[in-house]
Amino acid sequence: MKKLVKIAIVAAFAAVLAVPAFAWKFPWAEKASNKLSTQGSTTVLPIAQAEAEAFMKVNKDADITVSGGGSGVGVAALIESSCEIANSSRPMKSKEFVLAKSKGVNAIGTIIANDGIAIVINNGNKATALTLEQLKGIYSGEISKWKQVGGTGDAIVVISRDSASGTFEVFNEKVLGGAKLRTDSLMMASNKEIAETVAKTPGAIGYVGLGYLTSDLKSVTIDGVTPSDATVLDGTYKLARPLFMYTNGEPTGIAKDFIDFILSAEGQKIVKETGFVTIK
Amino acid sequence: MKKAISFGLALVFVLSFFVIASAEPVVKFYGYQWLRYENKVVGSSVDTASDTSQFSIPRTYLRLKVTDTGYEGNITMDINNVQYGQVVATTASAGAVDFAAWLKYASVDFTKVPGLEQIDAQLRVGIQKVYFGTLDVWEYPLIDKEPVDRNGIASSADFGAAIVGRLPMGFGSYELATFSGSGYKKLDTNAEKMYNASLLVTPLPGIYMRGSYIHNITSALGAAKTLDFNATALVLGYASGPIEGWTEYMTRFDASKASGSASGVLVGWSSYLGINLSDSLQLNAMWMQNNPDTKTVRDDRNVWQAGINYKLNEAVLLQFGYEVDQLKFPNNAVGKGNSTNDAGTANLNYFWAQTKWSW
Repeated sequence: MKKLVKIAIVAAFAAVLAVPAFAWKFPWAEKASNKLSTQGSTTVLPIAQAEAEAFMKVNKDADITVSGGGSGVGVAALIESSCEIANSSRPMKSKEFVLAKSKGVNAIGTIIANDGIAIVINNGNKATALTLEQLKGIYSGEISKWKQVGGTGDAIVVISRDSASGTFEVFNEKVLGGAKLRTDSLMMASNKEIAETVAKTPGAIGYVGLGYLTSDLKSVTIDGVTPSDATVLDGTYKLARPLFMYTNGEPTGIAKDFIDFILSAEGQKIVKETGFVTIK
Repeated sequence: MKKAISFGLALVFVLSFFVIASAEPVVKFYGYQWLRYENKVVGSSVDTASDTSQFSIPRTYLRLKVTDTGYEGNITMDINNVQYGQVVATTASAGAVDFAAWLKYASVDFTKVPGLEQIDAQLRVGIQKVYFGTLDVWEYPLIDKEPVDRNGIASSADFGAAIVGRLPMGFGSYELATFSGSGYKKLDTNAEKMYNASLLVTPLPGIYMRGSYIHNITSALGAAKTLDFNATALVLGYASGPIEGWTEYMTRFDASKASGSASGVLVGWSSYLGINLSDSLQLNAMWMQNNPDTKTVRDDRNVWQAGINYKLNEAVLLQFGYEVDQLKFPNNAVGKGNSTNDAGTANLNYFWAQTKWSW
């Protein structure tokens, strides 16, 4: 009897395992085919919002919700199946891939745009150019005064994104390269906050996605290269990165329609209009 | 070996000084609490059963997470209100109050240790989870503890140091740890340490396997080393869409319990199945079989659990559960001989209701 029970339980479990490993839901739990939830990177947020608005104008029944929180938050939501698309300004980490797989989520990323991380200063600052080494010096604390790098004013007010941000992780890797961020950096939760703070703070320096550049801010060249579509695409601007939308498996249904729309000529035009760089 | 570990730990603390010295941390505070009602019925028949019930707060986790380049620190304080919680005086008459508070986790992850960063691994020191079977990954979809914890095979957390790493291509993860072996509520009672290794493999999305091993040696200072216990767990898990489940085999050899009449070997099997009926409604079931000693006859127990979870919103979860814990062979003439287990108090029935909320 004991053996029979064990065999029955193992057999039952094996039967469950035998079901092909694809995502499915009970019919009554299926979300309406016109609903789509995207979450994650605040860098990708303006693209996702603009694309969703344009998509819903054409597809009147579509109901797309877009929210931020940071790349890490979006990826976590995808793993917990609380959103269909995770927006991320960095590639998923191996730790996230392992967790996703153990939860039955086969995360597949699609590059929907490119971005350059623009280094921005206050409009009143006369500095126009920095090298990557100088930038590292400023953010690590070795350089603390604008006169050391040809700028205006005295102390440099360093502004950074918080650690939940994909932009921070890319900046950390490409600029700091293992050096520690200076202790008096102001940590901001979004690109928007950084842009607003730099615009009203003389002596401030920050970094934002290209889409957040406005006339209220001054962008400096890095190693003599201006951040632009051309320099991001040809690879000469060193602070460039792809932007992702992650789905569970290859996109299907409205998620596929939405991503296909973003990748279309019309969608890429919106990418450009929001200040980011197209995929080609 | 012990000298090597001591040297390693000393090196960690020297390194940690340089990592932390110039950092600007991001601090986050969050936590959660369980508000529980339970009704326990003990006995094999309605006529003879005893019935108790209680309200309790079995868990209040207050969590502080500190992150910066090179490290991430975690502190989790647990304040709870349970029966026989904490001894507040050592006099014979004082007894205990139904309240307790302790540090459940207090650890630092060093994420940029030379040699480890390159292989996608990190060093974790402090009070941390013990990496064993389903013990450290159980998120309480059912109200009660998972089988390893319930069977007392290993403490859920302990003082120590661990290398926590990932396999390439998202193929899995591993942990190699050395712990005090005394659990998180007690300081070291041994000169020797406990060793823990665990490997998780995810060959396909939705299917994972995990093998874990613990080897615990005990000896007072200057005394001969003896085996305290060793334990093994094997887990096969599955998740796809609305279904998640696993089956687990666990065994523990406890040297102190081995004698002429007892093997000292505990063996347990368990299976869990969770089904998401919708985004807010989840059904859960678990079966556990536990043979406390393979040499003692008729002491096996079966535990059946079923539960319903209703997610009110992202911060509040309502849980309802029922559990039957019974001897596998109650009052059964076959193999009779264990009079204690043949007595009428063989069944435990629990009804649970719980609100979990987080911030």
